Amino acid sequence: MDPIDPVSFSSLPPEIVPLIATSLNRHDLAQCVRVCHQWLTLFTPSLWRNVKADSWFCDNKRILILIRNSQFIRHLELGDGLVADILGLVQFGRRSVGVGLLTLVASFEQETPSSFPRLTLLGDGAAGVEQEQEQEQQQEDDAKHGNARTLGMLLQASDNLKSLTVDETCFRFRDGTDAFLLIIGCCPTRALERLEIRFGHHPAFATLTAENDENTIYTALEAWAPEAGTLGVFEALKELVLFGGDSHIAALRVGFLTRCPSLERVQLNNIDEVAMVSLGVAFNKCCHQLSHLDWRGPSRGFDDEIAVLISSAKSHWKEISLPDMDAFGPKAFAALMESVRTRLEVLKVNGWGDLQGPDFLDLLCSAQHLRRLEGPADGRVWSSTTELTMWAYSAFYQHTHGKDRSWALGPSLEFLQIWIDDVPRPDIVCRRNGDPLPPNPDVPEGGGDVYLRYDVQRWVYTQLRRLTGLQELILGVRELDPKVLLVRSVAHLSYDPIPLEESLRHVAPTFIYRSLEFSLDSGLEMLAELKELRVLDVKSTAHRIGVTELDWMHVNWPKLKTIRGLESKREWAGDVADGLAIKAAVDAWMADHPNGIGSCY
Amino acid sequence: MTVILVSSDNQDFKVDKEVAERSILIKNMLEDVGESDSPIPLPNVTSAVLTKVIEYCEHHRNDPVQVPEETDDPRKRSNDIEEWDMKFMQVDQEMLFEIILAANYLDIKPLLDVGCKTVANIIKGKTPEEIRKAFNIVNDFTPEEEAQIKKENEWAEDR
Repeated sequence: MDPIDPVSFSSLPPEIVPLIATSLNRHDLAQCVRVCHQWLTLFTPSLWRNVKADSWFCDNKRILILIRNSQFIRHLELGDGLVADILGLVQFGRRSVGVGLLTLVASFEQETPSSFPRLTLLGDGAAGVEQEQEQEQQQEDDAKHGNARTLGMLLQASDNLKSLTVDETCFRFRDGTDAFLLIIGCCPTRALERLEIRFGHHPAFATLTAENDENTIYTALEAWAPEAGTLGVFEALKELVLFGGDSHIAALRVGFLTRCPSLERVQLNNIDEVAMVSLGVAFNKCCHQLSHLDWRGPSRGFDDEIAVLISSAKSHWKEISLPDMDAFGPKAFAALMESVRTRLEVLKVNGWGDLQGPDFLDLLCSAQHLRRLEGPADGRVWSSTTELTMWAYSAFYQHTHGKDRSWALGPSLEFLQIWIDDVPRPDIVCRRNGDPLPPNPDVPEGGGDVYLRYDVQRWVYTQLRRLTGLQELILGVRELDPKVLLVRSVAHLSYDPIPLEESLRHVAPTFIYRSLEFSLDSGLEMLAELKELRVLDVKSTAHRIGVTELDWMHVNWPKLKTIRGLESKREWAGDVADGLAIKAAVDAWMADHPNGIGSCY
Repeated sequence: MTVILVSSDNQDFKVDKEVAERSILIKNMLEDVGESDSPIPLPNVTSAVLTKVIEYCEHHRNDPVQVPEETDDPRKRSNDIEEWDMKFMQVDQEMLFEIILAANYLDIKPLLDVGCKTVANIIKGKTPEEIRKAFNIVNDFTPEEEAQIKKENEWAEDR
C-alpha cells in the first residue's frame, strides 16, 4: 500500500456512486451534494433521479433549477399543473426533459389555467419559445388544449418510458371535452410496460348508456383498428390499471386497446356496467394474451355485463381476484367456470354473494389446476356476503345418491380457505346469545343414526386427503374488526351506527357449530399424507382436537408450525366431553413439546 | 478442483474452483482458458484484500446465483445487511474501499452491494459536516456556495 495515497472515497470509480446512492433517501442525498465539489458532481445525478415536481417549483428560480437538472430525472411525478405545463413547454423548446424518463406519474389536485400568459415568469431563461410566430400559434392551440397538450409534449419525447400513471381529470381540453385520446395518442409505445389511468367524473360521459351494446363497441373498435398502424403498437405493455371514477369507460375510451396485443394483467377499480361491456368486448377482440384479472370493488353491474367481462380472456384466466360476487348470476358464474375448468390457478373472492352452496361445490368439483382458493378476509356479516361454504351433509348425500361430488382439486393446491358446515353433530348444542338454536331441519342431527356424523366427515376427509401439496388449510372464522364491520354495514344499510354496532356484536364473529371435528374418532388419520401442511386454522369451529390429536399431528405432519383456534369456547357445546381441547391440557402438551407445533391461540 | 490466485504482492492463494467462481471475472477467465493449472494473476488486488475477499466467497460459496434485479424504487430495495456480512464489513475505511474496489474489479456483485450499503449506512442521517468528518474530506466550498447549493436543493429536504 502506498502510504502517500491511501484509498479513500475519492478512489472509487464514479460508476460506484449510484450504487451507494440507491440506499440513500432524498434527504441524505441532499446532504451529500453539500459536502464538497467532488461530491456535488458525483451525487447530483442520483439526487435528481427521482423528483416530485410539485408547487415548490412554482417560482422562476426554482423552476430553472429543475429544468437545468432535468437531464438526470428518471422518475418524475408531476404534482402541480403549472409546473407540468412549464416542463411540457420546455420539452417543446427541445430541452429534452423526457428523454431519460422511465416512470411518469401525472396527478394533481386540479387542472390549472393555461400556462401561456404566465410564460413571462420564466424570463429569458425559458427554453426556445422565443420565436413570436411559434408562440402565437401555441397560444391559439393552448387555449383549447390546456394541460393535455403539455403532457402530450412530454410524452412524445419520453421514448424510454416504462411506466405511466395519469390522472385523466388533470388533463382535459379547456373547453371541457375529453383529452384522453390526445394523451394516449402521444404516449410512447416502444418501452411502455405499465399503464395506469385514473378516470374521473366527466359530464360528457356521465349520461352515456347507448354504448352499452356489444355491437356498437365492435363497430367502434373496427373503426379504431387503423390507429395501430399510424400510432404504433404497445409491444411491451403487459399491465393495465384502470380506475373508472364516476364516469363511463365507453367505446371511445377503449379504442387504444386495439394497440395493446401483449396485455397480460388488468386491474380494474370502481368500474360500472358500461365499462364492463366495453372493456370486456375490447379485451376479447384485441388482447389475446390476458391471464390475470384483478377486479377490485365495489361490485356493480348485472349478470349479463359481468359475464361479458369475465369471459373476455380468449384463452381463459390463470388468476382471478373478484370483489363481492353479489351481482353474479348464472351467466357470470358460467363464464367464471370456463376458466375454472381450463387453466385457473388462483381464485380470490371477496364474497360469494348470492350464489348458493351447490355452485361452490360445482367449482370444487371442476377446478383441477387450482393453487390457491381464498375467500373473504372476514366472516359472514350479512347474508349477502357469504364465505366459500361447502354444505357437507348435502354434498355427501348427493354423492351417495348417484351424483359424483368428488372434488377435482388435487396436489397442485397449496392454500385452501373454506367453510365446511352442516356436518351432522349430535354432540353439539348450538347456541346463540346463550340460547340453544333450533336444529337444522335439513340435516339429520343423528337421532337414530349416530354414525352419519362419521360417514359425512370421512367423505370430506376423502376429498381433503388428495390435496397432498396443501400448505395452509383455513377452516376457521376470522376475527372481525368492529370498525371495518361498522363501515361496511353502514354502507349497506343506513342505520344509526350505535344500535347497529350493538346488533353486530351478536352476529359476528360467527361460530361454525356443525364443523369438522378433526378428531381421530372422526377419521383424522385419513389425512396422514398431507405432509406439506404448515398452517391449520380451526378458529371458532366446533373441532375436537385434543392432546391425542396433537400427538398424531406432531408425528404425521412434520412441517406443521401453526394451529390457530385450538382454544374452544365451551359455550358452544353442552357438556365438555373427553378429547375436547381444554386450554390447560393443550398448554401442558405444548410445554412438553418445545420444538413441536408452535400454536397461536 | 482448486485454482491458484496470485495477489499484486505475489502471494499465492489456493482456493476451490467453486469459491473462486463467485467472481464473474475469474469464472470467465477459467472458461476462456479451459482446463489449466496455471495461476491466475490479480494485479489489482493486494494479499490483505484478497484474504478478505476469499473469506467472503468461502462463506457464500453455496448461495444461489443472484438474479440481477434492477429496481429504482427505494422502497423495494432492502437495506438490510445479513448479520455475518455486517460483521465481515467491520473493517477500517481504507479496507472497506479496498474491498469495494476489489469486488468491482473481480465482478462479485453481492459483495459490491454489501460494500455500497455499508458506505450508505455511514452517510445516513448525517449532516454535510459530519459526512466530511466521517470520510476525512476537506470542505472546498465557500460559505456562499454552500448556502446556494442548500437553497437549490430544499425541495429534497423534509418540508
